[in-house]
Amino acid sequence: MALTSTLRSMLASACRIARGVLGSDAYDHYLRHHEITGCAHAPLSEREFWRQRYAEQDANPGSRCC
Amino acid sequence: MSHNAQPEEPEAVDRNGSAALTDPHPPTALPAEDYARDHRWTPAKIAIWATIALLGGLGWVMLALVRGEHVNGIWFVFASVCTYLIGYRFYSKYIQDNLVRPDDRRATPAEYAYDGKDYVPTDRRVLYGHHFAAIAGAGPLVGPVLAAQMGYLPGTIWIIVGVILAGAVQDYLVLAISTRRHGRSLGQMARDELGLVGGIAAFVATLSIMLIIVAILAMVVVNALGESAWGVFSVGLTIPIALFMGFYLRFIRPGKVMEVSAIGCAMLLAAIIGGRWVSESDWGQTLFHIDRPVLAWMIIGYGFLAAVLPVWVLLAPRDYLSTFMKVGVIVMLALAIVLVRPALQAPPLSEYASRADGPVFAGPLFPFLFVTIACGALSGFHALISSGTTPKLVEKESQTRMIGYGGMLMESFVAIMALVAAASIDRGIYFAMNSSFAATGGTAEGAAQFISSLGLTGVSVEPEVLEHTAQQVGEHSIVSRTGGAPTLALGLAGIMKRVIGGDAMMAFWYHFAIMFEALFILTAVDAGTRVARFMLSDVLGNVYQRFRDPKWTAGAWITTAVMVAGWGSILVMGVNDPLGGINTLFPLFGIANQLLAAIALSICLVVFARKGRRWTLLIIAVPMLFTAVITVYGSYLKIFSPVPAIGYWANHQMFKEALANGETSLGLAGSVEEMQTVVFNTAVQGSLSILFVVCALIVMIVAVWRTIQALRGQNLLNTEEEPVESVYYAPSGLGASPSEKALQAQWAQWLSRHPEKDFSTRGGGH
Repeated sequence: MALTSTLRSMLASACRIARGVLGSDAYDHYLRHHEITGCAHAPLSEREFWRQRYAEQDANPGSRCC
Repeated sequence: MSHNAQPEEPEAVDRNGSAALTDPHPPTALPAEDYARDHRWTPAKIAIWATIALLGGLGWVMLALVRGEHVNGIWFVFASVCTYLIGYRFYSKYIQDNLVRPDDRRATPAEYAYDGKDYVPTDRRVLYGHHFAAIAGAGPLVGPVLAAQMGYLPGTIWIIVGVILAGAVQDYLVLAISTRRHGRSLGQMARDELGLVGGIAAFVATLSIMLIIVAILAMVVVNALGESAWGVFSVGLTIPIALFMGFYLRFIRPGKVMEVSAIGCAMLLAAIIGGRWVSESDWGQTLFHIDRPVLAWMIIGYGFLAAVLPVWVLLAPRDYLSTFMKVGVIVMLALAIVLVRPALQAPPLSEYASRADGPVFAGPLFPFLFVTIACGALSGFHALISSGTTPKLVEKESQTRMIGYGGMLMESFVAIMALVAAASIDRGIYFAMNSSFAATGGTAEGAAQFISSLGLTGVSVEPEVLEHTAQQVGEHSIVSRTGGAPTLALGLAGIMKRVIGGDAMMAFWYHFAIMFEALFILTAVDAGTRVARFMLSDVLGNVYQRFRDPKWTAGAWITTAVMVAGWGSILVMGVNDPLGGINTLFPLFGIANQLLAAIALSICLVVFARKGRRWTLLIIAVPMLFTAVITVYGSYLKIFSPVPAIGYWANHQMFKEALANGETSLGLAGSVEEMQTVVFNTAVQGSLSILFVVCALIVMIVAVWRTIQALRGQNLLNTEEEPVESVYYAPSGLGASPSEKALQAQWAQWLSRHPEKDFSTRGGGH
């Protein structure tokens, strides 16, 4: 039993790391920021958040390497 | 921590508020005594490091000294990995303790400027992968393939020694100084540290170097896809696949990046499999069998569109796909090399190691080997990633060693694997694939003749073998497929088919490799064009304010068109070059990239001289000097060498005179038109060489002057941000030591009482 739970937690953290590397967790970070900074307005929906995020990337591109 | 022993910063500002007074948080850095306890030498540790040293030593002996039949690829893994471990554990630790001296009690930009978007303290393992995916691309895969012309040993030594003493040092230091400066970009730091003239020179160098890098990477893709219906079809399909992914993320399931990347990846595999069927059909041949010059124009058009369209349409989804593939492929390749243990066909040193007339790239080993390998050992381009993007995500200053130095070690390992793959190909096939079209005539017979005319001992190839190999990988011909990508693909296919699929899968693996290289490169083309466009509009904004407005469409189109014309003209020039574009242009790419590294190291030198470092500045000065010597000497040869195969101007002059004398063919150029092309191309290449080296020299001279001033105690600017006291803790290395784990547990308890200080998405209860 201990082994399966270790395996499961390893798999979960591998999944979390993969999501992070790909940037899939951006909305989670945004929500967390919203929560602890105590903004009065409701947080953006996931759809709205990603729209804004891509709009920001349009204005401020990141570099990729050779 | 031991490196906190000498605090050199003024008292940090307390921003904890009153909560800290009643319930003080645990220490934000590991206390020195705990650090010492964790790092005490025990007999077990000594035994482990002795074993690593012995294994690495054995690897090097097998590579360099033992002369058997064929050296086994596995020794490259031992020699490189053990050397990396030792370099990381001892040299980067020395740099950290004596030069960088990170202070974990200082908040990083991710903490003090936390905004949940660009500035987010990011788990160090996530950030390692993120940083690696941003720095790694096609460069480390291509350079070592070309360098295999000289045998495997010079390349291997430079990739491994170069990364430890130069490449990883640069990445680490740039990351460290940018983290202390609010994640400022290399260009901004150049202006801050070097003043106006140095700043402008650094800007011109960066922009023009970016364009040449994009152009030559695009040429690698054109050469890999030219006249290959299968390749054009499967790589071409990445565009609709990316469009689909963008649409899916915007309208169907926003934010499900992992999910859509997996779907996209499955579609890519289907596109590769379907490519065989398409390439074997008549309509497939008519539609997708495209000549190189036409392909070049298509990539130019694509680059323009990708840079003006909103990022969600094409750029962002491609980037996900590319990251997804990158990490997967590299892990797969490492496993395959360990499993298959291929025997190398290349000798340690070939005839070309001591000559200057190699058919793959021209010029003597010193300096051209060092500029050809480019990204795998030292890459100036990484300085653009290490500043700006990654520093806004680092949790702790002490993590910059693992992310900056460690990330670059991984890139070097990719280069080693590429070298193994390229060196495991039969030498005759290797030269047939990498000699220019003009040399081989593009036919199997011509290639076989050309190879035997080279007069290399033990290197020959039958035309039938070339035809058979082409058939095996599903191509009409593999002759003169220059640029490195097809050679690497053939090497990889040879290795991968022994793990999965056998001969029947050879063509699949070949096109799989072509696909992922093209994917990396096209992503770099998109992003490079976009970044270059923003750099240009920033400058034009000084003249006409409106260029700074990102919403002004006409402005975006104009600046994009200028930048695309910049790299596009070099691309078209290279594709039509009678002398073989890769042969003449690749050294320019390498020189450009290494010059950027010299610029980055110069900035680090000034920064640390102004911090009051003395002898430890040699850690920066030595690789900087070496890079300066190889690039300036390389440029000198390219500009002034009287040998036409090496010097652009000598070649220019020779063709000009021949034309003036009424000759109608010369060397590889068979007509007056081709000769005129050579005259024009060499003039452009020669001028670019001069531009790069002049800009880089200005930066280096200003930097050295500022450093001497600093050593004399003059002009000691401090460009760091005011220190802010950290209220955050995370371990430094990839794993956590026992004391670090204990401290993490203390923090977990404290954060449960102060959830408002917990930035992690797991702690928030959702």
